[in-house]
Amino acid sequence: MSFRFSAQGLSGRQKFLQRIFEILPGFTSWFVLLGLAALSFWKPLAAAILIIAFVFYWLLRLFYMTLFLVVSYLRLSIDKGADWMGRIRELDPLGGGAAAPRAPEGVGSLAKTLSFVIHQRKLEQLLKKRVMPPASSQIYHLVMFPVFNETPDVIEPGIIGVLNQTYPVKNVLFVIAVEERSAAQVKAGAAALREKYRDRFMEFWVVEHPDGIAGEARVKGANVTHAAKRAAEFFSQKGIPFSNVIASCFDADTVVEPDYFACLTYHYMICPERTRASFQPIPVYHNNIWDVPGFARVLEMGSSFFQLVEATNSEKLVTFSSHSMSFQALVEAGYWPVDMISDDSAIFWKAYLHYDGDYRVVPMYVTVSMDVVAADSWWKTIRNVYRQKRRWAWGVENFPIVMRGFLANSKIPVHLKLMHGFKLFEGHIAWATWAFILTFISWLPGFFAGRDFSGSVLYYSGPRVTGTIFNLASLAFFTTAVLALCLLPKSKGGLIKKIIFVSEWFFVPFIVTFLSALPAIDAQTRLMLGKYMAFWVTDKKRPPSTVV
Amino acid sequence: MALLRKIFFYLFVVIYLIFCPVTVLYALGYIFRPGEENQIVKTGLIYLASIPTGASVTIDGKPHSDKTPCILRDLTPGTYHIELKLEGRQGWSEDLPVEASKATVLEKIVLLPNRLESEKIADGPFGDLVAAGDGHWVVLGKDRAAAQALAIDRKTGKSTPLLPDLNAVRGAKITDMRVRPKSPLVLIRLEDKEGPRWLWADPAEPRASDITRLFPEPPERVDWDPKDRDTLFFFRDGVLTRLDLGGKKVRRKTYLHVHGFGLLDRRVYILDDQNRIYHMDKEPGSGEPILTDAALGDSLFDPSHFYEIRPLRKNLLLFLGEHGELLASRLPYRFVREGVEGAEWDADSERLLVWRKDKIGILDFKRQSFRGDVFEKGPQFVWVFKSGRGIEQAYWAYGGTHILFRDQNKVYLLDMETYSKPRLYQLVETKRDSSVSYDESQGRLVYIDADANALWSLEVVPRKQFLLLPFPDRKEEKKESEIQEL
Repeated sequence: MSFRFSAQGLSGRQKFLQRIFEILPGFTSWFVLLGLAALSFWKPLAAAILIIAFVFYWLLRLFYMTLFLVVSYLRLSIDKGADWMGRIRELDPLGGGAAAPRAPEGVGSLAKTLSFVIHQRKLEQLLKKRVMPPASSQIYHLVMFPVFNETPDVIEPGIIGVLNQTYPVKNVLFVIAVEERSAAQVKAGAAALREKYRDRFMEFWVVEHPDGIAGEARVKGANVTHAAKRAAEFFSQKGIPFSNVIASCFDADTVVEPDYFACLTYHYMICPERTRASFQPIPVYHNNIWDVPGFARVLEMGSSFFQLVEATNSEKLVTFSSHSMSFQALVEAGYWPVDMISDDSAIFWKAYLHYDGDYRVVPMYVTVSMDVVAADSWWKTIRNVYRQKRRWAWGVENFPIVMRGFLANSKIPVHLKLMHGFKLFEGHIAWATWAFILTFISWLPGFFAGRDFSGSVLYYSGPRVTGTIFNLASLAFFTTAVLALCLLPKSKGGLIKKIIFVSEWFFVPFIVTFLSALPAIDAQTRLMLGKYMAFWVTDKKRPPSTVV
Repeated sequence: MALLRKIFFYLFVVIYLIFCPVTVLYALGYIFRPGEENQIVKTGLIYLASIPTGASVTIDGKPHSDKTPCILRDLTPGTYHIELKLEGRQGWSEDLPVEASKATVLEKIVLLPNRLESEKIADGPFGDLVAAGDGHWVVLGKDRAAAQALAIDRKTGKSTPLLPDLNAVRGAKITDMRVRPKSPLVLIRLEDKEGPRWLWADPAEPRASDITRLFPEPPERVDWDPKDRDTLFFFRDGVLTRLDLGGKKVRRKTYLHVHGFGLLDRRVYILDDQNRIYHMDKEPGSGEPILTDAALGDSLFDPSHFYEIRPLRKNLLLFLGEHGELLASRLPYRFVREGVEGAEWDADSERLLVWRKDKIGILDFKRQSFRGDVFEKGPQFVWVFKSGRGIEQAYWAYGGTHILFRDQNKVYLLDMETYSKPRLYQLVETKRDSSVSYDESQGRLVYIDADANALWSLEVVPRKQFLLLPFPDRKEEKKESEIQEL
C-alpha cells in the first residue's frame, strides 16, 4: 500500500486524524492519573477497589514478564554457543537446490541439543516453504554507523567489533554517515578511521549528509537514508540484487558480539520471508555499565530486560535501537522516515504498512552492546538519562501515523490492526502511568479517607492486600536482580560491587517513576499539545580505559 | 515460543478473572465460611490500638495471636467481648459491635497504670498555679505572697522568683493572675496597703513592669493578643481602651458602646450596643462589618450582658456571655443558654470542649449536612458528662479522645474512646481551690497535692506513645452518637 509515513504536509481529514491520535495517548495517561487521584479524593472506596484490581493485574503481568524474561535469558544462553558459521555452511547448498545436509551438531550439552532442535525446526519450515536462500557468499552486508558529534573513540570499538566477527567481512560495505553540520574534527575523525580500516572491508565509506534537503528534519533517519540511497546505487552498479543485501543500522556506540553477523546471516538465510523481515538483536548497555551511576545502570538493565521479554513475542515485536533488515525491504518501503526522531521503530511500521501487514521482526538471541548515557557529573547524567528516555518515549509519535495507516489500509486484517494498535497504545500508556499509580496514587485513597471510607473494612484490608501483592512482586524483582547479575559483564569490584548492584534494585520504584514514567508522560504531553520534539543527541562518555 | 506465550497468557487471564474478584471481595470483607454455614458471609473487623502498645487481646475469651495495635478480621456481624491486658496496667474490656463491611475502630485506648505515680517537681507548700504559655508554670505560695511566687521552667524544672524586685513587692499579695493560651506573659494583680497594683510579667526573663498607672480605674476586663505583647485592652463601662505598653501610652476611649470583644491575629472583634459585630485591624474605623443584621443581633445578644468573643478560626466566632451563654456564628447560633464556665478549642478536630459546673459537652463544628437532608444540620452539641459537682477546668487529652477535668479538688480522665459508656477514671486529688495544668504535647498533668501542697507532675499518656499510629486520625459518627450521658 502506498502510504506516506509522515506527520508533515497533511491536510483535511488526515490532519484532523493525526491531531486526534496525537492527543489520545497523552490525554489518556493524564485522564488515568488525574482520574484516579480525583476518584481517590471523591470516592476513595471505589478508587481503592480499582487500585487493588490494578495492582493484582500488575502483579500477574510482572510474573508473566519475569517468566518470559527467564525463558528469553535461557534462550540467549542456549544460542550463545551455537555454531552459526557451521549452520550457514549447512544452508549454503540450499540455494543450489541440493538436499540439506545434516551436520553432527546437537551432541553434547543440553543447551547445544536444544539449540540444534530449534535450528532443525526452522530448517524444516524453510524446506517446507521452498523459499531457498542465496549462498552466504552471495550475501552482502551494509553496515551503517550514523554519526553527529561522536568522536573516533566512540565509533572505533564498533568498527573493531565488526572486524572481529566469526563471519568474513569481505562482503561488508561499511558506512560512517556523518552530517554536513558535524564539527570538522568529527568529520576528520571519520576520515581517519576510513583510512585506517578501508582495506579490511569490501568498501569503507564516509558519507556526508547535506543539510537542508527539502522535506527532511534534523534527524538520524535522514542521515542514514541518504547513505542507504548511495549504497543502493552502489549495489545496483555492482549488479548485486537487493534481496541479497542485509542492512544494519547501528547507533554510533554499538559494539556487536563476534557472532553477530554470522547469527544475522544465518537468520536471514533460514527465514523464508527474509526480504520482508527485520532482525532484532538484544540491545545491552555494557560498554560502560560499571562506570555510570547506579540509577542509570538499573534503568538500562531494565531496558535490556524489556527487549529480552519482547523477543519472546515475535508476533508483536517491533524494531528497537540497533537492528538489521532486508535491504530490499528498506528500499521498497522507502527507507527510514526523514522527519521523525524514532526512526528505529518507525521503519518497522513503515515496512509493515507498505507490505500490508506482511512484515515481521525476527528476534535474534545475540547481543549488541551500547553505551549507557553518562556525563561528567551525577546531575548531568540524570539530565541526560531523562532526555534519552524522553526521546525513546517520543516513539509515541508513531502511534498517530500508524493509526492513520491502519485506517487507510483495508488489506491488513482487522485483528492484526487491533492487536498492534492496542499494544502500541497500551504500551505507551502503561509506560507513563504505572509507576505513578504504584508509587504514589495507590496511597491516595487512604490519605484522603473520609469518615465513610475510614470506617470500612476495605480501609484496613486494602493496605494488607496491596502489601501482600508487593511482597509477592519482590520475588520477581529478586529474579530480575539475579538475572541482571548473570547478564552483566564482570566488574572490577568483585563481590562488593555485585552486592551494591543488587541493592540498587530496591530503588527501582523511584528510578522508574522519575527517569522513565516522567519522561514518558513528558513526551506524550508534548505530542498532545503539539509541542514537537527536536532531535537531541545524548552524550556518550567512556572512561579512557575502554577506548581502543 | 508463541504457543507457550499464548498458553501462559490465557492461564494468567483465568487466574486474574478468578482471583481478582476474590481479592477485592476479601478486601471488602467477604469470606467463605465452610462447615455449617457453608456460604459466603460479609464480615467486619475491629481495629485496636492501645497506649502503651503490646497489650494482649482476647476476643470472647479466646486469645488473639497479635498484640495491640492489631486488627481482628473476618468477624461476622454481632457483638464481641474484647479484653486487653498489659502487665502493670489496668485491664480494659468492652463489648464491641461489628457490622458487615464496617470497621469498629478504637485506636486510642489508654491503659492507665495500676498505680498512678506522680513525680514531685517542687516542695511546697504552694497555694495555686497557672501555666504561662508553653514555657513556665507560675506557682504561688500558700499565703499568695508576691515575694514567694515562683516561675518554674517546664523543661528543666528550674525555679526562679517570678518578680525579680522582691523589695518592691514585699508585703503584697497576688489577688489575680491572668494568662492567655500561647502567650508567655502573665498579668498580675497585687494588693497591699497602698492599694491594688498591676504588673505585666514575663516569667521567662524574669521581668515585670508595673503598669498600674496605665489603668485609669479598676478594669472590668483585661485582655491581650498573644501575637502582640506590647498592647493590652482594658474594658470598663462599655469602653474598650487600648494600652500601648511599649510607649506606655493610653489611647482613651478607643472603642465606645462595646458590650463584647475578642482578639486574634492582631485583629479586634467588637460587639457594639446595637448588637452589630465588626472586626478592626489596627486602628478604630479601619475594620469591616461581620454582622449588621440588627434583628438577628437582637435575637442573639442581650445588650445588658457582656460577651467574650473568641475567634476560633477565620469565619468562626464563639461568644461566651457573662451568664454562661454559649453562642457561635453557626446555625442554630445559640448552643447553651447559661452556666458555661469555659471552653477549649481543638483546631485539628474542629471541636469545642465546653464545661459548666455540672456538665461537660462537645460542640462539633466539623459535622456537615448531608445531601438529601431537608433541614440543614448545624454543629452538633452533646453533653458527654453530667455528674459534675463543681467543674472548673477541662482539657482535651490525647487528640480529643479523652477529656481531663478538675471537679472541685479531684482530677478525672473521661475516656470517650468507646462504643458504649465513657469511662471515668479519677487521677489525683488536688489542694482545694488550686488550679491544675495539663500539657497535651507532653501528656502531663501538673497539680498541687492535697496533703503537703507540693507541686507534682503526672504522666497521663506516656510521651513516647504520641507517635502517629499507622492510620490517620479519624472520628466515628457512630461512636459519638452512642455516647451515653453519665
